[in-house]
Amino acid sequence: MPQSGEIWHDHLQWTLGFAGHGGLWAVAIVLALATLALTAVHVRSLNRRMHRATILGLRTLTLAVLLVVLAQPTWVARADRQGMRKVVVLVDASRSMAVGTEGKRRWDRALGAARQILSRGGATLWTFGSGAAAGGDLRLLEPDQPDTDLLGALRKVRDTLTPDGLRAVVVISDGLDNGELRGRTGPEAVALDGESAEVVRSLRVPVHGVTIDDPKPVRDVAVAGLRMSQFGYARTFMPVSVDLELTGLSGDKGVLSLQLLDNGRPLVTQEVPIAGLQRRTISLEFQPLHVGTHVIEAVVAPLPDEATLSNNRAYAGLSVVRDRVRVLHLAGQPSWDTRFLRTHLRAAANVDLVSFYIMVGEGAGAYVAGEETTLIPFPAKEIFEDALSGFDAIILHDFPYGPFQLDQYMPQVGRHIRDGGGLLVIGGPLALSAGGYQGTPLADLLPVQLAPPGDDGGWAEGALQPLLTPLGAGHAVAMLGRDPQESAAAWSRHRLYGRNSGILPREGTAMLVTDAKGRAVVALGEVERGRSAVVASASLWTWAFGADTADGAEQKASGAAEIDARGDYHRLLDQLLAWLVRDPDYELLRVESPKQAVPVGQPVALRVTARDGAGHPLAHLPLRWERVDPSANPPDAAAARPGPSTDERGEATLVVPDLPAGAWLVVVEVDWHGRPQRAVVPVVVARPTAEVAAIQPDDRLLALVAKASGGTLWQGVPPASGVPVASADPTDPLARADLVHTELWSRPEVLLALIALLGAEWALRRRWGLA
Amino acid sequence: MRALLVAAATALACVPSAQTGHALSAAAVQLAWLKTPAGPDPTTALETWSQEMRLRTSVAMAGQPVALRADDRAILRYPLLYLPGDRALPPLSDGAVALLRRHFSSGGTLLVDNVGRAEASAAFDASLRRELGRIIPQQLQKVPPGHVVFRTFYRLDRAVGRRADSHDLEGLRVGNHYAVLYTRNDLAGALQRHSLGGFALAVVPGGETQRELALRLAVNLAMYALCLDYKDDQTHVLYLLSHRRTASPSALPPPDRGD
Repeated sequence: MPQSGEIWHDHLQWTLGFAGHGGLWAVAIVLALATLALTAVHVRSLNRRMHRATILGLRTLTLAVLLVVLAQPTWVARADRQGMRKVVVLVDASRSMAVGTEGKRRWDRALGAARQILSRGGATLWTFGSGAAAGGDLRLLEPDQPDTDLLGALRKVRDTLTPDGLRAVVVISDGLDNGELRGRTGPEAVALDGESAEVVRSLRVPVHGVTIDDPKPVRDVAVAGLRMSQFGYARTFMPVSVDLELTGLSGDKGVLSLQLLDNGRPLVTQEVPIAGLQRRTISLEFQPLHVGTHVIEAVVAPLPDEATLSNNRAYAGLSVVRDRVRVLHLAGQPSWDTRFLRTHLRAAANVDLVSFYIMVGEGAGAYVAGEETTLIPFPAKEIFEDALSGFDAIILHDFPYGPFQLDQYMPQVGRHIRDGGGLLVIGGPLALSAGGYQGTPLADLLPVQLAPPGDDGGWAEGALQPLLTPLGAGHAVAMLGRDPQESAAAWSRHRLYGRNSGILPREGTAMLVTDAKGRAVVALGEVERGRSAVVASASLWTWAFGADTADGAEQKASGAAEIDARGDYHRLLDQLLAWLVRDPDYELLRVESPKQAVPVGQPVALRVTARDGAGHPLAHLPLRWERVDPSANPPDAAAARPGPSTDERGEATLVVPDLPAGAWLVVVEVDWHGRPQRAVVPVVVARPTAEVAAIQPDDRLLALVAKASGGTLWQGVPPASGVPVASADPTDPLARADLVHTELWSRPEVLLALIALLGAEWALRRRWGLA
Repeated sequence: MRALLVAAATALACVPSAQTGHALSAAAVQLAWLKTPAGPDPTTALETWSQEMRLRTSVAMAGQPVALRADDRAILRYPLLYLPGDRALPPLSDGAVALLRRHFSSGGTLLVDNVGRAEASAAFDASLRRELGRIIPQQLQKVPPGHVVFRTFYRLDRAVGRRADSHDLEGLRVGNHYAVLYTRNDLAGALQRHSLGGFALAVVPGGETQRELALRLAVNLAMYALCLDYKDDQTHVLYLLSHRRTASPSALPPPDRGD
């Protein structure tokens, strides 16, 4: 229901008028005079003079009243009403108005201008930002709106006030709009677009602009934009463009430090010279390392005396998928195990394989000299220094530690694995204790402890029966059937030949497969964000080649349980690799955030799913969770809090309340077979940065709005003659004079007076004996 | 250290496996040959082959060569089989045909050597083609000169043995690899040793130079069985490493091979 927006300024003028017919009144006067004359003759019969005068007076009064009634006297009140319709003063209360220089905010100057206009009368205050609202106490208002939407505010004014009640709209703003108007109108536009212009014109009054500028340019650097694809591939370089807005820094000669972060962890840092253009775009690139949801953050280090720090960072969501698993396969020697693993990896459509085999022994000497061979030196530097980060998983296959100076590259290898890479060590006579791993940094990355090689040199020949542990029976990596029972049966039908000895479990080791004496055959472990696995045998190839397996017809004929050794080989290796690279399908616990970024103040609802290795739901598992600040070094984890339990479907919704602004990691844990299972999801709690992305006042949009509506653009406070306020405007089509008629003759008091006069005369005449 | 390990592996390879009674050293490579009425015992030649592999390469070679019948399921423990022949090969049993077919389809390799003394045995040649046709319904094809088998370790431009009647290899492909490689030049003759340790047979016409080429061919053939097309990849390994950002197999330059 639109409210009246009119403010009437009344100028009243009273006049007396007569509505009676003039001719009739003249006749009445003649008749009245005649009646008086007859009455005067008639009262001469009274003896007393007093009585005669009284009767004559009463008759005169009666006739006078009758004459008044016939004349129909009326008071006419004339009200002159001038064009004093409402002027709406629309003040920008967005966060950019909190910026200022010399100790005075733009907001303070805007309020000063508003007060001046309001003091002229006939104006009313509105504020706008994300929305628009009327009223408010100027002393209490603060510029805290997260966005600026001028077009929305003008619509609200139009829909709230009747068009006839508006005289003008005065917008007081720094001109920085990040709403619909900015979206529709490009920075180089010379006129408003059609729809915006229609909104402005539908107000049917001028929209004036008052630009609040800064006395001197603020010093500020803003990340005005972070442009990149929303989707990327793991370990594939992604281009990123960062738009920087530099304000008030033209005289500076230093450098800015621009940093790109992935889930709070630094990716790239680049120094940008300050001198030069105000706006520049910095091109960077980075490799998202892990599949899943990432929050990419561009941050500029604060400058001294910077106007605001709230625009120094920008976020972008990124969903990373894996196009291909990139595997580095390093073999200490060609063997049947390396040959069948290579065949497996080469046949996998989603694997991008780089292999390097050590082809010659130390004593080969003259046999392999010169150009007669196709041998190339082991490119240790290229692999471990230059290209390591490009691989999702590294397979050391019966690879010795000593001969290739791995020591000097272990810092890089360790960083890569701890940063999320996967390491698979496949045993053999050259690996693990037999390969000199014990006591080296490489051993620290393994899920097992290594003892010095004993009498067997760290390698024991002989057939062994691999056995699933209770953990392995339900684990996705070791699952060789549709359920744990079927998987255990499959393992019991396989054999392995040769085993690395001197392998001991350590705290946190997930022992999946052992020999009959409980010694590790397949073991897994977490290495910070990365993973490692050990297969302590070099004979898995016998499964792939079917060495111990009767073919289908033979199995049928013998009645033996069917063994698909070749299928089990491929399945085990697929599962190992998938687990190493954290393929979500092979995770026991999965956590997903439905939103890439959540506004400040909103709780985050995370979807949690728990499934065993065969895909069966894990019900009634109590969750616990903690919030980790990934940018802290070391990452700062809050105390773990209890969460809900999984339901019958193995699912739960975990609501994380009240995360402060920033990028966080939420770590969710459950206990399964006495071992904690973790899943991590990044959550971004963001304040919108668009509002303060470009901080320098910009009157171009206000000018276009004023131009479209016939308004004027002023800098600072408009002149007194500018905004029409209390002064009358004769050209206003709404100006008019209202007449109010008040009839005096038709009032009941007149009738009563007439009756009283006639009655009194009648009574006196009777008393005094007058006929 | 490596020598010790290899020796240990070789010694331990003699531990019999649970199921077949044949020694199985899964971590080491053991040569096995098919014992048929068509060919002589190549044991000393295979020992030379193993010894040269140890000397020249990093491959851990295990113990004595193993002689197997073609219808012995144990052939499924030896991905590389050797078949010599200097006379007609009797028809293989159906079981042997099935086992060999399974061996090939599982990724195994059969090296066939025509060890005819003066020249390649035509009888063996014909019977071999007949029996192979029963296993894989294909004809033996010439292996292209640029194929990776000629550079999987040594760079070779021809395939010679004790004889050099033909410079070519022939082969049968199963999937992406040659399951059968056939040389008509008596490769084993160039490797065969007499009881005093010297080479038993003269190599013609190239003498010791040709013998060295024959040894190198033997190394390449074993390396091919072990590494397949690894050297095709390795040609590009530095390229791959330096172009990790964008490289995909389809974007790589083609390998310098003839097939």
